[in-house]
Amino acid sequence: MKNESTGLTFQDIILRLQGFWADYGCVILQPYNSEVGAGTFNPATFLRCLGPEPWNAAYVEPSRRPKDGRYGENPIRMQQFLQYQALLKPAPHDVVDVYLRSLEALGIVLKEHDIRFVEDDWESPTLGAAGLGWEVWIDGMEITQFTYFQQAGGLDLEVVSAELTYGLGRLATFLQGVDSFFDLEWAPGIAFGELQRQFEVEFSSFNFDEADVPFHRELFDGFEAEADRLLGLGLVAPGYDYVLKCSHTFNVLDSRGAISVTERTGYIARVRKLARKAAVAYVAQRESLGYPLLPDDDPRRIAALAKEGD
Amino acid sequence: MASDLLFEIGVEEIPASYIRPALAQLREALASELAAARLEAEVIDTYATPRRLTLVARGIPERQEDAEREAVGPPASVAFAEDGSPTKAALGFAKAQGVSVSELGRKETDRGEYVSVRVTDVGRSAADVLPGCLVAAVSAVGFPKTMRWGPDARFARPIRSLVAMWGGGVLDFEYAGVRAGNEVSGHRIWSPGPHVVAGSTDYLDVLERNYVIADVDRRREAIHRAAASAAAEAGGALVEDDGLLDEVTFLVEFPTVFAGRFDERFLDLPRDVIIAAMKGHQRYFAVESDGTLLPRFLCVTNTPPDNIEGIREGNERVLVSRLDDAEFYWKEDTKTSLADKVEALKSVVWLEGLGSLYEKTERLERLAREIGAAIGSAEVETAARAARLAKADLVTEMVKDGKEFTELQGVMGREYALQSKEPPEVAAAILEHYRPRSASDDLPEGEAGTILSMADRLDSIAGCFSAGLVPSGSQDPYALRRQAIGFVRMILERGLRVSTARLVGAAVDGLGVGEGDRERLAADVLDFIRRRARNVFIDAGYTYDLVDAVLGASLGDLVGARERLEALTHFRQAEDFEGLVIGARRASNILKDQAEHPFDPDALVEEQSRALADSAGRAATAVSSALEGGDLDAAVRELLGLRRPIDEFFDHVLVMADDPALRDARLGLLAKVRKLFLQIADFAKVVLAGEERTDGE
Repeated sequence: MKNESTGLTFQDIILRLQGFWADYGCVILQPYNSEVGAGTFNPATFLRCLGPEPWNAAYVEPSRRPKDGRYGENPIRMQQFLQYQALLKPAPHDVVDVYLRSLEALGIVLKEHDIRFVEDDWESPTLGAAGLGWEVWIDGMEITQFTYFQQAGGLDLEVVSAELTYGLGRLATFLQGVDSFFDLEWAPGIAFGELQRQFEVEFSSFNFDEADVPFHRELFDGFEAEADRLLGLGLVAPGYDYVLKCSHTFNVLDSRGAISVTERTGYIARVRKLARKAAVAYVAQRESLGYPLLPDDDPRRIAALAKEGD
Repeated sequence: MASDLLFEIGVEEIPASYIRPALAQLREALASELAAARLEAEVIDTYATPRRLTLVARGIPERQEDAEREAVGPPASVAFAEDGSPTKAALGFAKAQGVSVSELGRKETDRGEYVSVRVTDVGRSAADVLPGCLVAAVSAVGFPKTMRWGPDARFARPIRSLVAMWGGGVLDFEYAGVRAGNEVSGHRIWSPGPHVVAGSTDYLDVLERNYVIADVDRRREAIHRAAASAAAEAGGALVEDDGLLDEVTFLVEFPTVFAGRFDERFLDLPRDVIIAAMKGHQRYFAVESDGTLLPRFLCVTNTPPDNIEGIREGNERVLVSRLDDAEFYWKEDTKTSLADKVEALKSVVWLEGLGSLYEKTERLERLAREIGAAIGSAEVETAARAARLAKADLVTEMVKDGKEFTELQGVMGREYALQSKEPPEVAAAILEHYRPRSASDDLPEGEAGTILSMADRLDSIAGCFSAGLVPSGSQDPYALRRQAIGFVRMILERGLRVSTARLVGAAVDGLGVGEGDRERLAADVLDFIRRRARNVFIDAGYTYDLVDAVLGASLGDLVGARERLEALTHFRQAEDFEGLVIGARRASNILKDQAEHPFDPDALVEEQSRALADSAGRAATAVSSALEGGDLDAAVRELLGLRRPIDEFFDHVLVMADDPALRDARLGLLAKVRKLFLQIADFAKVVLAGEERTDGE
């Protein structure tokens, strides 16, 4: 399918999305500097979706899924891939239309394609997070995960956010008319394969064959204890960092084949418990700060400030 | 003048499977609301797409009929003073009802005399009443999952618009933060709108002009017709799939069907794999010619046919990547034989605390042999081999995929067995051992598959029970009830004469539980199966009390239990049946708290006792030979013959005599009679005409 003539490189696609969401009013953020399984794990989504404050943000998130690595041999499966994430809180009533306009911003002529919203309920057992929504298809290809958050950290959300997660690799193969992520043109003259393939080979080897299992088990236990301790001290940001480290370490152990079916449930429950603790601590912290992002005359802000003043 | 009510709930794309049930609920809720509001419609039509649920209630009257009712107020003694003058209570009641005190009457009730009055509720206009009906109807709809999106409401997906019109005007109300109006949205991309409608008359036309076919049947038929003709143009025939057609109907508002193509080399993959790749995720239809798939697929788009070329290419590319995955899995999996994969089951946990799938495999092999022997099967070896291989496909790349190919467990077992040159009967049994998957699903056709399916179910039930994973209430995460029902159905529908207790015993033995727990575990499992058998019999139309009577006597073999049930049902209206039941109950009641006494005919003195002993002795012989000959009717007839001697006995003999020797002899006689009954049924459990149902379960 070479009929797409948008001529966008991978970096153009990112820049177009950044521009679109900046114009919409999103805070444009940078990726989080710790391994995450998806843009949802970035505190800009996981923590900010909690509580009553409004929040619109967008960012690229390089996401790690050790199990999905294929030694660089599979054209569309990788242990690290790029998501573009927009979080709109509260979800605006015209969020679907806004999303479609973002596709137009990429040069997609909507009437030339079959665009569908196919039921797909999302759940992250480790984050205790869940939502309802769709996969968005363009001509049969899934390019976005569209979710109305209902729960995070096991807490029912006070305000429902819409999370739009573009799979940048798939979107780019669609726009550039190529079949393999590695053949994508990242910048003029530079293919994505040049940037990423060697990483895929090496990390697949690490994830599947070389990661030291006893060491990673120890890491998990240590990260877990540290997260628990820090969150107990009310140090939400560093505490949550260690929750992320737990989650990633678990993923490494899992891809290494070190976790039996029985153990798996236990590990997931341990991370979920920490995620909940982080969520609860964050909510309390924002309240004690008087919900700074709420308008000054919002009764919740007034009540929070009054409570803090007591 | 009567006119039509148009009500459209405009939503973001609702899951396809939710739509039909939601429409039915909406329609029913609106009908009952209208009836309660005395505004019944002549008929209520429904329409739906992924983005709208619509009701058209035709012929709603302009106003409610006036309704007369009697209002009852305070007690007369409170409402009127002794001199007959009205108190505040009477005045208040009259005012509330809008009448004068002089109009109040009196009414005699169980609790004394009360003030009452007949009042007329003047009918309100439909425009005033309908909003309440609509809000109630939309609130009544339930979905498998609902969500919040902002306003204080839950629905399958956000509600974004409401159209509510009656008699040419808009009904004034709000729900979920949306105000009802007269504007519909068209196709999301081709003609979003909003578009004004005049009412039910132009609703469908306005939508169709804006790329939405709201009539479900029309859309479904259009897709089917287009798919059939696209298949014909592609040189084949549509592989019919009603479930898929239904799903696709609710995925699109404006369908176009096109045929796409894939590389012929993929046809080397098993048919079920290709279909799973096309249907499981992409919802494509397959095309075949003379029973063989063609390298073509049919895609239903949500677009007009204008730009189909590009859309076709996109879809072809997506399908290729799915078929690539399947081909990769197939090549990996066929590098070794299915039997070679059994070893890998050692590292797969079956259920927490219940060992590996390899251990389950070993148990299945043994249990299949035992079941085969118990039913006298000639296919024991086939069943045992199939048992050895039954779970091996769970470690194949294809089934581990975790997406659409995972559903092919069993199917891949068969395919890989055939590739590994296993006998076709073994391959078939591997596939069939997952049947029946539901209460109405087909049973395995072959005997080996039946044996293996029975073994798998018994092992799962006994295993879960041994680990304390017992279903309770609505909690049955391992679907043990369904599995037990499948087990019972196979025995009954295949007419397998085999002791249920023996099979359960074999399953329990395989688990290697401690001697102390063995008996209790076997009893629990047997009781669990007995209760499923009870449901199966009741669902088959037998009355519950006869089922309880038969299963209460003994579970025995289920085919025999069915014969006993059949005979009892046959004789239920017989002359002596009721008397016999009464006699059996008296015997049971007397024996309830007694130790067991031996039958000693010589210790009986009265004529009636001796007569009953003689009759029972003769009947016992006759019942035995009738049972041996499989003549259940004759056996029941023998028991009915005991009705008279039993009646005579109870009429003339007091069982609980003061003389202990005499009492023991009579108890011994009754115990013998009861034991004889229990060969057929516990007659005491039969409920007679006019009695209250006392359902113990």
